[in-house]
Amino acid sequence: MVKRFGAVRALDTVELRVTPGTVHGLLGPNGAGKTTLLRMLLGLVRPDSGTVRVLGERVVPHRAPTGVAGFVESPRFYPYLSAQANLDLLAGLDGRHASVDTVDELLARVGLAGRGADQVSGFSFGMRQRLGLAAALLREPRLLILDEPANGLDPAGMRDMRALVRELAEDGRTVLLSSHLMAEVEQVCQDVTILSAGSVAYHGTLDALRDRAPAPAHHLRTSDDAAAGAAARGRVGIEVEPHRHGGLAVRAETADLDDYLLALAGAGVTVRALAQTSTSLEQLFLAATGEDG
Amino acid sequence: MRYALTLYRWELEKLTAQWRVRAVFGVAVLAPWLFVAALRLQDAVPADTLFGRWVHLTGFATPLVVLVFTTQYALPLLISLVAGDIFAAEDRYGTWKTLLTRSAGRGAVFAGKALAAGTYTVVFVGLLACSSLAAGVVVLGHQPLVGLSGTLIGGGAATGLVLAAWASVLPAALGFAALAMLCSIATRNGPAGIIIPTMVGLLMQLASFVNGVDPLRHLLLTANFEAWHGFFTADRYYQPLVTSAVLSAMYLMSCLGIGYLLLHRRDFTEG
Amino acid sequence: MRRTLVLLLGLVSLAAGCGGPGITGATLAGSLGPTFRNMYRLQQRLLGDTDQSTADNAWARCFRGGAVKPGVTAVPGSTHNSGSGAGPGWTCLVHWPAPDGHTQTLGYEVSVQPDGCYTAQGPSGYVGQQNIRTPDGTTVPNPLYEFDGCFTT
Repeated sequence: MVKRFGAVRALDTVELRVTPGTVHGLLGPNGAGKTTLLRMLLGLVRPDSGTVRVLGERVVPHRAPTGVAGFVESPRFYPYLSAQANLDLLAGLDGRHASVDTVDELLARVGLAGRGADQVSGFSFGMRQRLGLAAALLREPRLLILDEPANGLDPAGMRDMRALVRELAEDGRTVLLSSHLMAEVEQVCQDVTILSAGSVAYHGTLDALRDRAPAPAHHLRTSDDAAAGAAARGRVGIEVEPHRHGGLAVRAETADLDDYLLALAGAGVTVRALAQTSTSLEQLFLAATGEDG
Repeated sequence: MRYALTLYRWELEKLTAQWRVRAVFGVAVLAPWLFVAALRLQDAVPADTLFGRWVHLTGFATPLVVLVFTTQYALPLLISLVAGDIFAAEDRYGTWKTLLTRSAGRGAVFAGKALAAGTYTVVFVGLLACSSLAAGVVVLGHQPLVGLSGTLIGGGAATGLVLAAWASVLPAALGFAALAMLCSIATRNGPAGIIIPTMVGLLMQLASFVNGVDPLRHLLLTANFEAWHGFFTADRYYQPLVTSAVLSAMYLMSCLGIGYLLLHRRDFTEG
Repeated sequence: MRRTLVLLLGLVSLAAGCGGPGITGATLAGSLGPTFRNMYRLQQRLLGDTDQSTADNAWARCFRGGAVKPGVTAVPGSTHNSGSGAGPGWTCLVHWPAPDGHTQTLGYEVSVQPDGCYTAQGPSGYVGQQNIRTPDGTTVPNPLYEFDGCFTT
């Protein structure tokens, strides 16, 4: 399938194989087509040509496919209605009835216990994210689509949300989680797809991706950068070059880095600062999407 | 169908939860009483309005004067306040994606909203009719009404004719509701959905005063707003009502048809 | 698309009854005469007069233009109904049984709306002021000073 916006090809023949019962990460820089893809999977956007198939069935254009629920960008609700009323309404649109008990249980599960009677207008961004997850779960989907679900949450909230997402997958649901944060994907996903400029740049397990990943990058400041640079020459498993903000950019796995630092000490060069600038997967992500690290 | 009814019920719930709708209903109930109170306090009469001369003689003139005022200036605006916003509100709240990622299809969403806007229109017109009739009769009395042939119409008959007159403007009222819904869908903007039908209504009203455009006059939605005049003559005539009701139905169906197509084809790429 | 539009316009024009009599001197007179008679009866009733037979032979003759002085019958072009179309500038002559027993001819200035409703204003020197006083002392609008009517076009 293809989706164009004017002359721009937003998406071109994307295939995602998502293993049931796992959390699948969808990564890509802004404009890569993540959102358009999710909107197509939810039936909000129609492909210009070709078809969208999900859970073995063709998605009828502009119709929400059965068994799929979730949200794209931030979930939105009627601010002048209570959380309970919003969920009642959405349950009605699925031909279900949401009893007060069901809704209470759901709200407790997403961390909104006791807030059912409150108007959504008083909810923070993070609380709306949680309510969005509750609304999606109400549909009892086989495929759950979550777009940046940890957005707007505090660190504790993020941890809870990630734990919940893992738990949902353990219950047998399949989760497609879109994110621009590699760290988030590393924590919850088994498989990952990286989109770049409308097509798939990588598709596979995180482990396979790690194998292909370059070494993590570090920013190193020493008493004598020239000597440190010279010390790296000829060493295996380490790449050193001048960093654009001064000091040295060092790419190496942890063991190789340790050896290098000991060698520096032996050569009389002292280390003044060492910071990891990106993990290996972020390095790969940036490489795969053609963005400069 | 089941989803359309669920949606309809929820749209009504959403409407009654909004202060704007409550305010309009409050005005519909209270304004006629303020009007008759003002009439009681002074001798001047709205003589250039049909039945305006007789407001002090009988309370049955009140609902007809209110009907003339409302249809000339306010009805398209008061209908559009809800109908012109009922689709655009989803754009404002960003809730289209929330609504359309459930099992109910776009047709059901459209039908539920259209039914709710129609219900609002009928309830608003009904409230204003009953309130102005009650205010007139209670405050100014139920003496016979002087008809448009000079004959006197007794209380029972006058009540029936007044309610029939109010009911007779429903086709155009629903036509304006459909126009407002079309604007709401096409512009995706609440204020535009309210202002455009209001302006169209005023322009049509203006055009109907202009002489020499007789064939065109029959194509105006507002022609329906005057069709009840024939109820109050000695030899009643209904042909303007039939003509304008057919025309209103055509407006209604074309606006709803185009509106549905626009909504059906829309890609929700934002919000 | 164009063909559908033409068809629709045709349907509406047909439904609008383009073959109707329209607004003419004759249709206006046909409505205004009886309405004037009813208004006269109403005025007499408001004034407490129960004898209502006097205005039964009221008739009207309507034509366009020619401002008529009240009480004058012979005006060129006024011997029969004439003219057509909505707008102000209509004159209708009606027979009025004056209080002294003579029947007089009064000229009403009439403005006709496109939908067939009209407002007729009488000569106040003959039919009285805008408001009249009933025997019980209340002030009511004088039905003959100015009245509305409607007829099918």
